[in-house]
Amino acid sequence: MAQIIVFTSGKGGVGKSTLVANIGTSIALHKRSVVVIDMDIGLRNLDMIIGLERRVKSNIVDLTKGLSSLEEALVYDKRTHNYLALIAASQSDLKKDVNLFKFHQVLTDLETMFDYIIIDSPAGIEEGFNKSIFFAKKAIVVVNPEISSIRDADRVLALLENHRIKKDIFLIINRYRKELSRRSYYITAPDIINLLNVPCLGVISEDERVLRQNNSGVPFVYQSSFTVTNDIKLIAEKLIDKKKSIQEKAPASKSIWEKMKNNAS
Amino acid sequence: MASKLTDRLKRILDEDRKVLSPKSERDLRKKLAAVLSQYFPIDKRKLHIRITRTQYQTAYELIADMPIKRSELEKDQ
Repeated sequence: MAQIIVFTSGKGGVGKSTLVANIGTSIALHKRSVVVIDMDIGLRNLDMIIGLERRVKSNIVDLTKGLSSLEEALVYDKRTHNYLALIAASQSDLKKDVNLFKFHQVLTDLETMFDYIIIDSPAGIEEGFNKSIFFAKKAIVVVNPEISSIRDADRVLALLENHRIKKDIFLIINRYRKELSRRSYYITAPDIINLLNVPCLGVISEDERVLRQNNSGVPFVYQSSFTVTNDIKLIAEKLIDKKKSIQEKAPASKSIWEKMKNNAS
Repeated sequence: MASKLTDRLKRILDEDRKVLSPKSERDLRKKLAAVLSQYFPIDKRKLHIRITRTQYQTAYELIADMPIKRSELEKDQ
């Protein structure tokens, strides 16, 4: 039975699709079968980031409408020896065109075929988001170290609270620049974890080469020299192996004064 | 250091997470102060309450900061 994981954020442009493409690929390179589903109906992008856009013949909307079969909608990635598969979003339909009951049927079929089902949720907290999280058993909220992203993530966490996912909610801090963490305008990873009060799966460093890789259609996890590759691999290992530790709380402050300040606040 | 920014964000999130209207919060503060002052010499002006989410977002918790007037407490004892 597959594990259904949704990647969400609230705010757009935080790097959800990039993370889904790379974490999905990384899990597949561990020889675990994984299907990634692009639920951003009307704004299809995940296929391009993975580099499978030329082989997409069908999409999730056609599948839920019964206009195509699973075999037609699933695009397997040969670079991962077919351990990674993609179901693309439709570029011409709307989010309302996904029937929730039919979507559940599709997920039920996929559950018997794969170890992991990763859903790439659209930005926002409307229909597309609600459908994406509806059947997920685990949610990963992606956040950038900027106040608008953190505020939106907090709103998403409140919505997930009312959902059946409950305790399986995790955070990934993306595009983090450690060298800026002492600057007054920069919010640190431990502070983000403390403010949102959710266990953190990992912190991904900012790297401008990620953009180049996204544009080339080759997930950056194939580039072993990138620091971000290691960050992604660690997260993928945590997702497939529960023994790896998840950072429950921010590390303790260094000075006694800071500890006292934290206790007082 | 980023503490000012963190404090600002904390205030924003606390405001977003509020589950009581300002009027209900004022009422609650007044009633809490009335009950607690029967047991402790408290500084009513400094009574601060906030409602936050617990870890994993599964519940809310009420946190009340209530300074007790130490001088009066010692006098009573």
